[in-house]
Amino acid sequence: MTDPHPLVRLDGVTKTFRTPPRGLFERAGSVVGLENATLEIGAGESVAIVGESGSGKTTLIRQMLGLSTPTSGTVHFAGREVRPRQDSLTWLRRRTGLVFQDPYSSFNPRRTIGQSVAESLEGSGTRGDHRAMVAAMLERVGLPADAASRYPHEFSGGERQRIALARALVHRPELLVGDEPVSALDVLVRSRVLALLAELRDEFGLTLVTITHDLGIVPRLAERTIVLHGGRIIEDGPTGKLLDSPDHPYTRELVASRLTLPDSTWRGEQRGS
Amino acid sequence: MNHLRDTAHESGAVSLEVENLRVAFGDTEIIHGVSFSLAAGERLGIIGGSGSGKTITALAIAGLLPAEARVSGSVRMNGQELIGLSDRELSPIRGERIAMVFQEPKTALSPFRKLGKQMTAALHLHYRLSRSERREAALRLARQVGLKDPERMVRAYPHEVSGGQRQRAAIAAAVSASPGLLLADEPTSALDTTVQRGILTLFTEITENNSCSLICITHDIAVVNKVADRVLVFADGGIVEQGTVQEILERPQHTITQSLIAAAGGAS
Repeated sequence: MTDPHPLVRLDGVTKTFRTPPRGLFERAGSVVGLENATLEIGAGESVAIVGESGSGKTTLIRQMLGLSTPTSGTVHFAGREVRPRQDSLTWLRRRTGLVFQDPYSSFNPRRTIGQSVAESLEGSGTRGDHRAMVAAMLERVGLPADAASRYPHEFSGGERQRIALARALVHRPELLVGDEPVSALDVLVRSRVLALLAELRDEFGLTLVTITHDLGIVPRLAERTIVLHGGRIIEDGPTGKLLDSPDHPYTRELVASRLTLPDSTWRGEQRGS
Repeated sequence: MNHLRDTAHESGAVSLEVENLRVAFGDTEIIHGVSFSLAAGERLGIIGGSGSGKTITALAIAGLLPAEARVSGSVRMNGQELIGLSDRELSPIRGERIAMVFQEPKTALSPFRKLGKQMTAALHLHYRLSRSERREAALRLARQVGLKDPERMVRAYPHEVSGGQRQRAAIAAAVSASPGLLLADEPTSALDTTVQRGILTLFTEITENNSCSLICITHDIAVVNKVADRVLVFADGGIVEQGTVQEILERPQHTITQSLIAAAGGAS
């Protein structure tokens, strides 16, 4: 089945936030979080969204997922308009999954892992044997068989990000969005979670959108990179081209700020790990 | 403000000799006999994964472990033994000679006090500055750590400035009393890459200008490559490998070192 529509389409999306008045007689101000963002993401693409804190990365994906209503502009998912005010968006929840940055605060400490993961199935109205689906997905992300009956505090940060992946994927969405999914993990754990993410993408044919401020992991995650700066999309293109010959001065600065290792560094016995 | 420096009872970079350092909580030993040395003015990197013991080792050196931790072995600073000293004996050493910078600047600073006050807290404790002296010291420190618009910064509260600016303020507070050793624990992990580079350059400047030694703890070997001369690799509560940064990068012997290099984008 070929779909004539891109999976995600944003047309001129702007989001402004009100700021409280600073003094008693002053008026409330406003801050532009995202300015006139227009982009299309096709099914099966892997896209990284990079930029510094406050550049609008999270605001952009919140519009994509219908978690916030744009001030102006439109958002479409697979040709259908996303209208959070008028629509419960259950259809969109079924087709999308989200992984957050912080492995420690994204789970309810009083619910078992099984209950937390099953929330995605309930929220998306998925039918079937929830318990079996949860167990199968937890096993797929590499957790022990009894994980479903345990609580979040019993797991390490890396294990919790695996659980977060299970929760984001258990209802078999088409689009997986990660908001800094590995930046709170230490480098060794990060490497293993990134490898798992790539495996799952291929296995489930996912479209992947990942936010990161770390250019170092972008080549492992995405063929295409979008750079945000001050709420605007300033560059959008193939990851390799963007890292080798960035167009925008800000992207050049971002690429130059990457800490690199000297050329004489050990490169390992075999490529790929 | 330079006259303040002269009154410090001791100044200049310190050396460390750590021998067979062990730390245990209850019956569980978590640091299993660590030995290394740090020459005065040297910049040492400590790398390892989470739970490898790098932070506990640093806290043991600074005397900041909780009372229930049992620390044995020897830590000599400029030849003086620190292990076994009481809190009272340790406090002047810890405060004046060893300073720490932590990962998260938001939690290291008090949200209720202006940055200028916090940057000069240690100085004020030692030297009882007047209001104008204190303000002058705050401005000098703000300039030293590269805070733009120092006049505004010293009057700002932590939540009013960015994460990078908060970390610069925390570093200013740490170096205000001219420590001989700066212990930085993941000082840039919570910051954007563009900000990270500036902070690391700042460490290099401070260790050169203040003639201060540096121990930088991180899981990112690219950070070590930027700030350190020599590196210790930690795993399972001990040192598995050490050498100059160049030796470790080019000829890593231990599999942990190799995976740390691969994870930082060496082997791909």
